[in-house]
Amino acid sequence: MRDLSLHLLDIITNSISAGASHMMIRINADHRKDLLTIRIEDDGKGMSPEFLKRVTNPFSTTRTTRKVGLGLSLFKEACEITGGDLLIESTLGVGTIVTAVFGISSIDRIPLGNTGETLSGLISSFPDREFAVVFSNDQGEESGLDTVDLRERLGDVPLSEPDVYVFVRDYIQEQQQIILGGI
Amino acid sequence: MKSLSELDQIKKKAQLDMSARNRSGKRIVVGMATCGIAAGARPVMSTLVEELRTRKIADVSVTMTGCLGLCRLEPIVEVIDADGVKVTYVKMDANKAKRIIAEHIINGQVCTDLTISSEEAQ
Repeated sequence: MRDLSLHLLDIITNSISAGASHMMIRINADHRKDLLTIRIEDDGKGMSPEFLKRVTNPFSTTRTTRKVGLGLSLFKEACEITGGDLLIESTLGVGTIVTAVFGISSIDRIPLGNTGETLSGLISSFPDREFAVVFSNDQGEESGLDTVDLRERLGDVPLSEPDVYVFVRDYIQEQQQIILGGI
Repeated sequence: MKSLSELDQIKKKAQLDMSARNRSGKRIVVGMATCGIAAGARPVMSTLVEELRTRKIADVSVTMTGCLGLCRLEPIVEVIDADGVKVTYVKMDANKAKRIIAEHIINGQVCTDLTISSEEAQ
């Protein structure tokens, strides 16, 4: 994967497959601690402790189209080479929280990329689910977007409208830039 | 700087457009599993949506789906018409996405050089 926003897209599609209806994404850059944290929280069906133990193994997958599942193993690798870590907490019937921590200044850290394009694709493809993204930094600044607010503004206009897609993509990318800068 | 108030304009415009729309029932599906994403499916989807928007085609939906089991041919795009007839395009990129909108969606001509069967024939 070229950047972290592509990993993010990949990991959120796991939440979708797990039947999540609410997905909360928090991205925090703390330059003082030199840590970039991406946290994805969903209310999907969760994983059993047994599956959780082997979920970052590339030969673990629930899919039937192929026998390997590289998503989480690649994401874990992307964290670990920066001195960071990937933590997965999951409870059956409750949901899953994936927390990825990266060393910001590590030369091996890939850029964050375009989270706007990641979220707009998800929001327009799965208009019946709720997504929220929040960017925050060590200055206490915070901003983002929530599909609940989008729906309130748009009324009966579907989130899959091309105009909405482009707005969401550009708005989120702008918020990312304002709060996190070119990271 | 963009503001959420722009959504009010989008809403007004969409509500006007929606009442005048014929549903063609055409769907475009982009494979967006690990394999597709790594091969560049996300910008392909973005280009498809932007082309539809620029050309004011409002009756075709673009959505993502999971792995289609053909990872080596990703990014994969399927165009499915109202009767369920499906054309599968493989090894897609942004320029090919533009061609599919212009040639297949607008002019009704399948881009035969981009389909899975032409790839398999090579």
